[in-house]
Formats: sequence, structure tokens, C-alpha cells
Amino acid sequence: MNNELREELQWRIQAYLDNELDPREAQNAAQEISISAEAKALFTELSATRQMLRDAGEEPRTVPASRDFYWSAIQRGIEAAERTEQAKPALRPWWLRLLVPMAGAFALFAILASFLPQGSQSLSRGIPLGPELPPTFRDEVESTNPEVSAFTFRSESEGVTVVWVSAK
Amino acid sequence: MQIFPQLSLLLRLVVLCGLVCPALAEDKKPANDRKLAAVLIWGTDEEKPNDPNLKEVEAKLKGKLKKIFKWQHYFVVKNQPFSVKPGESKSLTLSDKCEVKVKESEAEGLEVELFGEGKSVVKRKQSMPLNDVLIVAGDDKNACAWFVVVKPEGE
Repeated sequence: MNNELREELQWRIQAYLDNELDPREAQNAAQEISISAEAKALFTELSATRQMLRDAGEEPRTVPASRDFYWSAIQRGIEAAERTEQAKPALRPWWLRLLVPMAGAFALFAILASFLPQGSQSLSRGIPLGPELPPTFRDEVESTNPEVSAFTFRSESEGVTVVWVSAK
Repeated sequence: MQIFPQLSLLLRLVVLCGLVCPALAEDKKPANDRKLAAVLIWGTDEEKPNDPNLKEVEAKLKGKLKKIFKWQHYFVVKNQPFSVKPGESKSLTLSDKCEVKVKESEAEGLEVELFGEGKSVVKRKQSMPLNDVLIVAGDDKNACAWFVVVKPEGE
């Protein structure tokens, strides 16, 4: 018996055990259990499992809706929960949410900056790149000839910045 | 009574800000000359040409070049040391066709402008930490390359 047929048989016998089959299907299932060794073994196993659960105090759960509507009811429940989640209003206004990290960042900056040398020393002089760094700087490359293009790359390990110039 | 710790924190932040702001202001101390060198280099895979004026690039710079570029040999065409002060600009002629203008600015760092045959080719503004090297380079004929290296003198 292939897996598909075996699975179908399992469902059928489980449904038979749970009294979920109509009389004609139940009769067919009973007949199959009496004929097929595999069906009989499965029925015995499922019956034993069911009995074991009962002995352990596990109460049988009744599906609150018919099988046809049970899963669609679950789906509707999930969709309704998602809609509720989406419609939930923001707990705090946006500016307040922005203010908290900004205040934190400012406080951290202020504390760090207070450790820098004061007086004639500029902020950049606290950066260990070299004493001749300007207070503010921007690295930029500008191709001044329309017939050439330039791109920049940098090797941090070698401390080298390369501007490669090529004809367009 | 919880307002006092918050007020205290606010006051401390204001005081800290007052300390930091002067540190952010521009440095009024007169800046020293910056000693740099502009080097025109020729990169090739061929062995040393017959030109006696060409010298092999010194080991440290050659090591950097070989780690970044593909060429096997690097020869110095011209090495020109110079110094530049903030606000000052220097023009350096490295060959008949190649000229470099270097300007130091406290606000924007080092500005290097390359001229080829008298025409401006490319301009680069660069913050130059002490040991940093700036290379403006391009392809040359016969699968060779040229490099204009602006570096701290002795680097």
C-alpha cells in the first residue's frame, strides 16, 4: 500500500473510531477492518491509543463546528485578529518616539564630548587620525574635465585613497 | 518631588553643552606648515627602461602600490617635496604635461587639483590624516599607468 492510500485508510479508520462516518461509510470501514490485516492492525493501534488517553484522564475534545466549517472558522479568526492588530492606534505620537532616541544620542554625545581636551584644542584633535586634521572636512572628488571620468576607492589597511582617472 | 532629578539632569546637560561648544569652535592657534611630497610615478610590467633618470620607488611606498595595483614595477619620474600652510596653495610641475596644485584649508582639508597639458583634469578634496597617502592615477599607453602621489614627506 502506498503512502497516499495508507493515509486515507488512517483517516477513514480514525473517523470510524470517532463515529464521524455516516452509516454506509461506517459499514464499509467495519468490513475493511475485518478483511484487511493492515486495517485491523491500524484500528487496534488507534483504539489502544484512544483508550490510553482516556485512562490518562484526557477528555475527548469535541469540534465546535462541523468539519466543513471548522477550518474556515479558524481562518476567519486569524484574519479578524490581523485586522485588529493593523487597526491598533500608535501608542505614542511620532514626535515623542523620535524625541526619546534623540535625547539619548544628545546626552551620549555631550558626555563623550566632555572628555575631549578643552581650550584651544578643536573637536577633531581628539580623533586619533593626526593633529593636523581640520575641524570639519569633506572628502569629495570632482572631475573638472568633461572628457574624463574619475572614481575613488580607498584602502583602509594601506591608508591610501586612490582617484582613478580614465578617458570617457 | 520627582521633578528635581530631572531638572538636575537637564542642568548637567546644559553645562556639558556649554563645555562642548567652545571645543567645537575653530582652533585659533596658528597652524604649522605641512610637509608633503608630490611624486610622479610610472607603473609598468616591463623591466627597468634605459632612462637613467628613472629610479625605483622606495620600498614602503612600493609595497603600498603593489598591494593595490597590478603592475610589477614602479619608477619615480619626479619627486618634489613641498610644504603648505592653511590657506596657502602650491603649484608643482611634475613633468612637461603634468602639474599639481595643492591647497590646504582648515575648513576643507587638502585640495589637490591635477592638470594635464595645462587643463584641469580632476580635483580632490581630502582630509589627510598624518600618514595617509592620496594617489591620482590613470592608464597610460602600452598597458602602463601613471600615478601622482601626494604623501607626507618621508612616508
